[in-house]
Amino acid sequence: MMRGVAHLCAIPAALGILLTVPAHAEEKFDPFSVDEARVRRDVHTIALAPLTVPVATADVPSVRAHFDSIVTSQLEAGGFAVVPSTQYERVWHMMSVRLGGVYDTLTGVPDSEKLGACREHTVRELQREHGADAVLVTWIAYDTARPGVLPKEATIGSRSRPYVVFGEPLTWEGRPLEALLRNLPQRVVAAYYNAALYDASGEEMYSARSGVRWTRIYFGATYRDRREAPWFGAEAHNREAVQVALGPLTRRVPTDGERSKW
Amino acid sequence: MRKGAVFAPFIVFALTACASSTVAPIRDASFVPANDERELWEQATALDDALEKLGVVYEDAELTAYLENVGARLLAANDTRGVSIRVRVLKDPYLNAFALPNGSIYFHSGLLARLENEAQLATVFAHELEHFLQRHTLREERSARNRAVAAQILVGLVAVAAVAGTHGVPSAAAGLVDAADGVANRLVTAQVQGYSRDLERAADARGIETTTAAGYDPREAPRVFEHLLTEQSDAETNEPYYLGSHPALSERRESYRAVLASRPAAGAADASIVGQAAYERAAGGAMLVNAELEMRMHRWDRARSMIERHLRAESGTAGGYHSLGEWHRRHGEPDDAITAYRRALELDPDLASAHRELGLMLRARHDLTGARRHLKRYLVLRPEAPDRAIIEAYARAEPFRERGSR
Repeated sequence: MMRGVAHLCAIPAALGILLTVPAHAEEKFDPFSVDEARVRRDVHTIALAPLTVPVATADVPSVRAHFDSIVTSQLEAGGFAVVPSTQYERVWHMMSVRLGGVYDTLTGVPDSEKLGACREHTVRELQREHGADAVLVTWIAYDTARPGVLPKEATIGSRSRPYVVFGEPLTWEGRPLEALLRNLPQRVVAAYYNAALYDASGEEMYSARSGVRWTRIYFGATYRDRREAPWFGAEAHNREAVQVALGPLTRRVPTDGERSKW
Repeated sequence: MRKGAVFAPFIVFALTACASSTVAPIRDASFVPANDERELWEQATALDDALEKLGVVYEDAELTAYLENVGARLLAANDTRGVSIRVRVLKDPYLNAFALPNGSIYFHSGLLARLENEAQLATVFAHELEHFLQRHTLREERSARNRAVAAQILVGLVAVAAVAGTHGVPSAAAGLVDAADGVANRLVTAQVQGYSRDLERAADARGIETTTAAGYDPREAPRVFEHLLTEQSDAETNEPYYLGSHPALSERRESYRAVLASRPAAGAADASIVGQAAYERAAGGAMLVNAELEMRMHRWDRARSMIERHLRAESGTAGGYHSLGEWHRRHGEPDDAITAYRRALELDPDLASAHRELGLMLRARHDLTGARRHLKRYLVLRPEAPDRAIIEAYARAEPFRERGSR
């Protein structure tokens, strides 16, 4: 009887809580920082800033050229004209030389005023020379990924960015990790592709990220780096990461299959 | 455990009922905060300092003096003696105003830029004053504490249900525990999400008494929210703060209408103050600051209407035309931008930023002579400009090429 009373009290509360959870989980991912219609009206030509990659990355020019090629074709398919990142690099270099450098030579700390001036004049010059309306800044950085709901894969992405959640099988030297270790990894690190679009005044208009590939795993009380092909060498993964991150901007919405396939 | 489960609903009810315990209003300078209120005051002072350090407080001595005068008038009408408040404006494009428990009252520039007159300002001001004078944050804090205890009991109940086989509930219950842990954030939460519906209505009702006693036209009260609601609907926006949400605006409008309907004498206030011209003069600078914020958000129509309103109210200012130039430049209308910058320089030949923008625009059009003249003037007026080296190169009209390139 008493137990029954407890249930009577608890069930409506629990029901209320449960009803709110799905609504939150289905919240639409919107990478636009300003009204999407205004972005489409105001932006026609996008200047690419050079891709920033983690410090230890080998052959940076090749990696940049590889990603630039993917990004350019996707933006062009989305109807945008593209100014290559070499132009941005050239103008940025000239502006920073004029300002006597924007970073402290001893500490490496940027002078915020000079940095702001360098950015502003670089964009204005790209606007003057090439008619650029916006700049696409991209970078690859490491962040944690979760061992997935399915125990054999890493879920790369986060709840706050549901659009980019997809999984990749966890393998070690070609073998499924679970079979190898007989337990689940405690932590996974993944490389993420980040993209942010700024208008000519430096205001963010769009920001998104997507998983490139898991790169590091924690087991046996230590971190172990992935020994397979380097993460930036897998063209299919790179292409998919760019497609996911820039999808809403270029109006290309990935299918369910694309989100889960690796 | 079972015994607790049986009595829990009654305890929850009793604790919730405690939320309405009496808190005496602030009436004069002798007021001393209660023991549990001191912490709220300290948090409020810390929030004041943090906002100052963030650089989001808009400094405009004329506007501040004007707001303080309106505040003093409302305090006098509220029959308070020696109660001091501090009024500040935040550079934030969203609709909001809030009062902290220590008497700091904040108006967002987004709200000031959209109010139409002093009577509308007084409506919002009196509402916020009521939150401060009636110590609503303390009331919410105390009721939130009560609710937190109640929530924990509820979590216990949910756990009982889970043991009995209701799957999936424990993780959701953790959310309730999180909510209970959030008691310390009540101060900020109240400023963003508003107070409970009862306290908001009480502030409406008492606020309108104050504005009327201060001589303002009470008919402007529902018009504030009518106007804001129409504007939000036209722009199809729903903003993050309490006053930017459609339900809150609708509710305030209906609440004020109901209060006015219950006061038959309130409608006949022909001699009372509306104060449109005085308000637009005082808030003119905030309108331009807010127009800049709106431009950053690409809300071009709003920015334009604020700039034009400023120009109408002030019969044209250099700052107003400079903002208009910025609007045209960013909106991709260089001819109109150049015209506006030139007009700004007619009104103030020493407006450095207008020389800079005009110079850069003329350079982009290959008018190097015109560009050189304005850029040199900019460097004279702003010798410490961070981009001096770049502007100097432009002013010398040097071909801007990398060394060694063609």
